[in-house]
Amino acid sequence: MSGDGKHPAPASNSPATDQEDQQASPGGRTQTEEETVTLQVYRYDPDVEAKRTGSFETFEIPVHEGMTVLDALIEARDEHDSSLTFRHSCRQGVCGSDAFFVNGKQRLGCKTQISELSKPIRIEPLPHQPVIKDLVVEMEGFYERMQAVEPYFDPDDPPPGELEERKQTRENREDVKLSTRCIWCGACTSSCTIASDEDVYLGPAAINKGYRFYADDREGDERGKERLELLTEHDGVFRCQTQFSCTLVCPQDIPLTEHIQTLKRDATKRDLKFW
Amino acid sequence: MARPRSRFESGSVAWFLQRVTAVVLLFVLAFHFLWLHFVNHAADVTLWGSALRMDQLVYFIGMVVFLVTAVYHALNGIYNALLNWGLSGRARQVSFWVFAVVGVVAIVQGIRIAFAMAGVVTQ
Amino acid sequence: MHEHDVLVIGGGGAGLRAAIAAHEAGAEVAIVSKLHPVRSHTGAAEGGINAALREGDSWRAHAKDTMKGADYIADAPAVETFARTSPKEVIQLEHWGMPFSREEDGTVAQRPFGGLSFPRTTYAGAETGHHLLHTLYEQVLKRGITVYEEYFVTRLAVTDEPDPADRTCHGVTAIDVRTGEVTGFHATGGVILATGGLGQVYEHTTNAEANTGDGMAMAYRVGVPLEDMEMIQFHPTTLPSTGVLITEGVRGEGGRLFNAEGERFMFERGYAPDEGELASRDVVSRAELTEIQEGRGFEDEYVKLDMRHLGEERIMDRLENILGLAKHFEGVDPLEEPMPVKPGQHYAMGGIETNEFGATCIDGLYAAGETACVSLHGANRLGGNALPELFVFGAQAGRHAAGEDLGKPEIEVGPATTADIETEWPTDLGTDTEATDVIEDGSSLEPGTLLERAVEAERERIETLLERDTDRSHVSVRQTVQDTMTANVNVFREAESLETALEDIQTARDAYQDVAVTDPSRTFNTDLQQTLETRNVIDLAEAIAMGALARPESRGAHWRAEHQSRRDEEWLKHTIVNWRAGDPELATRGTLLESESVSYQPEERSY
Repeated sequence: MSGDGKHPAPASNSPATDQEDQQASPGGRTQTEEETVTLQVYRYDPDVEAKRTGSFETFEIPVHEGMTVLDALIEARDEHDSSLTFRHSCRQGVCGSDAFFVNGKQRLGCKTQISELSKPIRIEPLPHQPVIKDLVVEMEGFYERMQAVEPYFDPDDPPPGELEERKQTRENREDVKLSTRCIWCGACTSSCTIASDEDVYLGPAAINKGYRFYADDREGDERGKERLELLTEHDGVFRCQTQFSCTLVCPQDIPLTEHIQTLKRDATKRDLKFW
Repeated sequence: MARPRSRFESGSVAWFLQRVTAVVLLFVLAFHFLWLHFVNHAADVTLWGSALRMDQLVYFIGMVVFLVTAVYHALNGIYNALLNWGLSGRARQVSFWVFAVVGVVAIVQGIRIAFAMAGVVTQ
Repeated sequence: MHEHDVLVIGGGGAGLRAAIAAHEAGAEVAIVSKLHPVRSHTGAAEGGINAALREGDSWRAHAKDTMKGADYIADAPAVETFARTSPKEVIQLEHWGMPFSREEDGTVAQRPFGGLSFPRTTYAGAETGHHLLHTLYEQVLKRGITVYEEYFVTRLAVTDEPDPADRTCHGVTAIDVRTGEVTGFHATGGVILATGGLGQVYEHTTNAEANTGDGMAMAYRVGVPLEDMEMIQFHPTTLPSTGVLITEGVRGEGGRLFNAEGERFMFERGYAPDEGELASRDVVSRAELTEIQEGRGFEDEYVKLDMRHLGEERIMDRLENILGLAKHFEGVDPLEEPMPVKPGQHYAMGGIETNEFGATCIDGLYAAGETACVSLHGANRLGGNALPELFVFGAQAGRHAAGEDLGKPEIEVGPATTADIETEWPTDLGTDTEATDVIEDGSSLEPGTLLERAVEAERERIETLLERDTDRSHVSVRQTVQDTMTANVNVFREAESLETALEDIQTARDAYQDVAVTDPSRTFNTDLQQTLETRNVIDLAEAIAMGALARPESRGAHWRAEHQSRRDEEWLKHTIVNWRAGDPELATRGTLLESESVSYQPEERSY
């Protein structure tokens, strides 16, 4: 997974660093030699004659320690070509804006270290979604899938009182914890071949969202049954072929396939129980 | 709002059966291969040889099980592959029934052949 | 042209809550946001939400902590409303499904936090903001509220009476980022600005790239006063490489700060003998920088935060995502070694002047959340108080904009204030070019026509930027501002540097007259968007530097070398900056230390 393990410890952690050979840049990052990395970035713009057919443009970017793909793209945009377009915001892996297809895998730009990737680095928009411009894809299909699972808390019973919370056991909270971490980045759904093209398969993100509420004890059994029905209809969980691509690419390490399998098992138990 | 639904509508039964037949096939295929390649050899796979085997009830039942699970698993598998490829709407409904009919015909004819093979010895 | 009762600009915590409240009060409301709501920076908040929920705690204690944290220039009516309302709103969130962390008995858990007299910070792992944002967005979806996402609002459509307090806001103009189309949005009831913070004014910030203070700048340019702009919070624990936030929750759970000599300096060097690491953020940030400046920092840049002794189990339960952040951005495993941290820009206590109902002096214009200054946080905000501010005042603004009668406000708003400050500005301030966003003769126009004119004006401005032929990009201009703010308007301030900042900002303004947008595309033109944002960054940087130079005392987060203590006799006041159509002026307004049920006396503030 991107971001784990192989990030080299920055020089700033070693006590015996020789300050003199290094120049600190404003962010505290050190740049030792003039090392550069080659980026091949997908360009497309329906509005500009020269960019109406998609193509790849090359950028040579100076590298500093700890540089991420997003850092490199921002450098490319700010120093070389201000028309380079991509979504991004938080820079720390929580907003989910900057999911790209980097060297053939769905990753968050801000959570992918340049140092971990083989060069040249190929950066493309998420596959299986129409491209609006450069690395920006149409996310409407993704949002529609999310909305299709009624992704809001909808309990059977009214709350206990204006100043009283519903109780939830720590175990149950732990059960739903991972499924609540979804940041709507779209990486999983883009990686799933079943969810590709205009297929109406809900996809891992939407199913996981449904699971998040299904598994939350506070909603109640009736609602749980309704949710299970919704999630197991045509183009629901049974379209999943346990490809596992979703689980592999999720930047939040949510065990998506496992959640989908749980729903399949629960539905099967429900349907086979003819006694 | 629970509306009366067929328990088969979600696809959970088909999913479950695909996995059950997979496990069963593992055993019957292994048996079939072992029996006709190691225990018996090419020279024994004649109509008479097969008829003798089919005459044994356990083998007969095993072969019918093989037939049913293989037909189901294969046709259900192809059907799902087509769904993943984008088969939908009318075409999907039609395909479902075509596969169903083909499946039933294959099983019925297969069982008839099994009986025919088993009956050879007594003719 | 789109028409709605209430328009909410910004889709973060405050905006979403305001929309829900307006909807529940019967208004036909729509949210307009330059990002999809789930991308809003509320989602990056980590630590928690303060509320007086339990036996042994009281809203009065929470209010008192808040006022002390504010170093006595918060407005009591705001503090009272806030402390009283937070508990109910927090439980409401739980009823909406927010996955709070729990105690053994299944109730919502609370933990200690900086500057609080009682452990009243509710939390959801170390990703409370993420859960808050998504819970509120889910409730917006549930109610079917319209969201115009990726619509960048660039101007408020406001009438042009000479006194801003007589003006009316009829809506906004926005660029549909997808297509480049400029559209008008007519609001018959009110416009609520909830556009968040302004971290991009600084180089090293916890804020997202999107936090360019758009709402503050737009309101400022149509005559709404900005309040207490010099009060910028520098969070003590940000990662040196990127500014990524390490939550106060680490210290809340027992994390410790060390200098290069292995001292737990908050205690051992006397910065906060009672509270140590859990002193108020301004105290901790100053302490860290003092240690570094006096040579006891690591590599002259940072100190270390150690949480190893908390144990893996506790960390995994309450601070799990911190492990990922430290490993990812600094290559440090906090289970094995302490994390490098240093202060970074984090929050703006100041902002658009509003009363406790979120109303500004312009009729029909509201603000809530970080973008507003009620004032709830005065000179310094306590950790865990930002998130509840979003929903308490977001809801207030939503209800008021929808027409609900909330009574008479105690807090006064408007540019009419005591202009008794004689500040020597080192240079001209403001600008002559495109000095105002107010539509000429707007007061005599029908709202629809006013909006059309505003749309026209925006289209023209965009055309100019697209057609201009220089090769100056906004990037260098923004960098100039960020560099000077970081060097000169940081934690420790002195007159000479502040003056340099104001001069540099003027230079940046001049340079901005020449910027051109190179990308000719109409589709998703981020070059254009960021160029427009840079204008906001410049205006706000100037307001901050003005306030910092004008306030001759040290209070809360504002520290002056020449005046290192509070001056309560003269300065229990807010600074107010009025744009005056490009000729900014600084004035003051007295703080309200009394409200319906509480009254405060400034005390010595130590932790």
